[in-house]
Amino acid sequence: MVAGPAGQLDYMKAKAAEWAAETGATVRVDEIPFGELNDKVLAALSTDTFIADIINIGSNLGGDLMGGGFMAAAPDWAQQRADWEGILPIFRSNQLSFGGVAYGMPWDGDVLMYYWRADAFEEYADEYEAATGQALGPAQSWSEYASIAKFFTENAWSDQEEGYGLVELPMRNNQGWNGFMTRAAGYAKAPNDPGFFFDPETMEPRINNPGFVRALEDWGAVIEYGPPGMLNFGWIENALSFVGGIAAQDIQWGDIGPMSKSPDSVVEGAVGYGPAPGADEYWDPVAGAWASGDGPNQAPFLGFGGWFNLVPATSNHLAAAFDLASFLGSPAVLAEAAVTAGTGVNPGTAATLDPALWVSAGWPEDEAKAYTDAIRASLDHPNAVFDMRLPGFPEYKDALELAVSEALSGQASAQDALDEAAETWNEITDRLGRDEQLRIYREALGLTG
Amino acid sequence: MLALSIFPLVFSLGLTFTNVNLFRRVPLQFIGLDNWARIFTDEALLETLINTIIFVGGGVAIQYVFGLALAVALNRGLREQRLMRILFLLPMMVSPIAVGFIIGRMVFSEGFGPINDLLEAVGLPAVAWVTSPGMAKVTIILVDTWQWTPLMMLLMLVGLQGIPGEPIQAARVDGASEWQIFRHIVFPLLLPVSITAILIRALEAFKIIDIIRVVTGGGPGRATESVTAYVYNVGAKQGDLAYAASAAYVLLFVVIGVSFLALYISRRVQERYA
Repeated sequence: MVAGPAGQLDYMKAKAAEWAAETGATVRVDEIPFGELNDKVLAALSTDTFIADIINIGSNLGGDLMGGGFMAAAPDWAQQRADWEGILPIFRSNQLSFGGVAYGMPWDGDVLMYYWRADAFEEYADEYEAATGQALGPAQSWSEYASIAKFFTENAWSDQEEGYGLVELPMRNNQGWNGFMTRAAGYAKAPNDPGFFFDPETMEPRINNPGFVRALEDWGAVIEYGPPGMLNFGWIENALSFVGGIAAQDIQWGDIGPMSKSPDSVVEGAVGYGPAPGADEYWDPVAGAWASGDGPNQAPFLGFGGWFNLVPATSNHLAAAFDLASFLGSPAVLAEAAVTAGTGVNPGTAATLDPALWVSAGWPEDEAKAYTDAIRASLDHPNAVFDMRLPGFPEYKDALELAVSEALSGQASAQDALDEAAETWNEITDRLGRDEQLRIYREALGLTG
Repeated sequence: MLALSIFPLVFSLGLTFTNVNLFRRVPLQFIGLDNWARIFTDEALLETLINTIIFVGGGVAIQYVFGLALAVALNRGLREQRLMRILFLLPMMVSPIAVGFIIGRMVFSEGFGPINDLLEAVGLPAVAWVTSPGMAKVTIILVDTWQWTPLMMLLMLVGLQGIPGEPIQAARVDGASEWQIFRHIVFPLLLPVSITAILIRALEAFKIIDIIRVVTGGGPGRATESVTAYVYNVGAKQGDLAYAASAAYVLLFVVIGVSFLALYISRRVQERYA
């Protein structure tokens, strides 16, 4: 079995050892560094080279792996053991299945969320209101988020050695894609249109439309309110900054909840949980104009889409592999993993989203409810955007992250950088076959015909 | 020799005339010089080539100067010489990935790294070590220098210990200063070793990728992406082995050119000091 980051690898090794002890089988869990995981898995499978009987991978490689015909379909008995009906529909269809066929076994459910320092918000409420004329509460929009970030960096925490208004995920070849898309979704995902990355009629990229461009410009304007060097921040720097107490707001996956309870955290019990903010206006690509609704346009981004386990069709141990994968995806294992910091498992099933589970793990009742409600609200949101999982995803991601990095570091304007990325996306789409890519994209959006 | 060296070269050269793509199961086709023509319009390749030349030129020059200085100091009988030698060699024994993380990501961290703390403690502004396109290049050079100066020092030390003592003693008797001895005797005698050391290090430095991937990921933008990193992205991420091989050949030609240039300079310098 091969898996990604060290934290979840250790947990997975322990669970795999339990399974081996029960069954008498032998299992070895090898790590492939996160940055190389997609490349190595794709290269091995494409050249018919054995890599593992189980591959623990992020869902946005699903298009290449399941769509590429490399994976074995999950047998019914494995689905039953993994409590298939207990998995949220958005993950059942967008993560674990492809073309209506179930391949994957569950592990992780991912959505990027908004965290804030509830204690600091309470402490500085009056000061913030005096300074801005607004009440200080969790940001509903990116403009409120920016205002709060500015206040903490320049006023409230300006006398602290380290105190910043926000921490995000902008690093290229790391989580830059997820950091940007989380913000862009609010600006560019119109509630009346299922498409986001592409026009679902033509497969023309949308990443250089006014919505994405403004999202990038606005992001560039708030980077200065983050810790020094934040352009080079990936998952770990982001998470440690927030649970280390130096950032007032954070955009991250659900891991922050359990991490805030870890011994290294200085923010236990002081964290607020909510869906990512929305944009005051969104770009309506159908009307070709900015539009607004009753409130900010929210579009939670299911970035990365969660880790899950796949079994290559060429495995010589198909039954054993699915036995282990379904054991790892069983409700009991996922429940334990979800409430344990560092496992990489975020709630994605009904059982892991039950506040009672978190209370039994020692969380205060109100916090357990706030945390699970925030994740639920994101996952169930009608305007939620599931991450791209087209064949060629690594290429699309590279091109976009390059553009974002160039714009954020001042080497190009947002428009120029995204125009160039859109051109590259078109080249990739044409090379991979526009019609086939369009078909897969439409299928992912639930469009027929 | 044929199997280990020539065959892979010929095979990869053959690839450059095809449409081979690791991830796209398209029929193998001979596409002539298409990949080679693409090189001339590939701005990304040019940018990464310039970055690579900056890393090699800057890094190897600094490593040579520091390595030579350390070797001279050690050769003169620095106290605790054996311990110092071991200490100086330690960076070379650490994996580049670990060096990238410890030095590049931690020491040069703009938020919690000790270097910025030090600068601020003496009243200087913090430096955007990895987020400014220019400084990010400098940081890559510094991290590479931290790791590979010991190799330069080792080679120079071997060179220094191979220099006969008589000419130096004769010069001392004639009243030459230490600087004059170094400038007119030691340095010229060290030139063959110096050129070899610079060449060895440069050939290795042209292939830089590991430190970059850990420290900056090639960013900001493409500011620190090397040709090898670019070739890796094209070949491993996009699966375009044919074009990746063509781009790799560009690097090979540059390295061959630099090698000939170094040998030419070496001959000229040695003629001058002969």
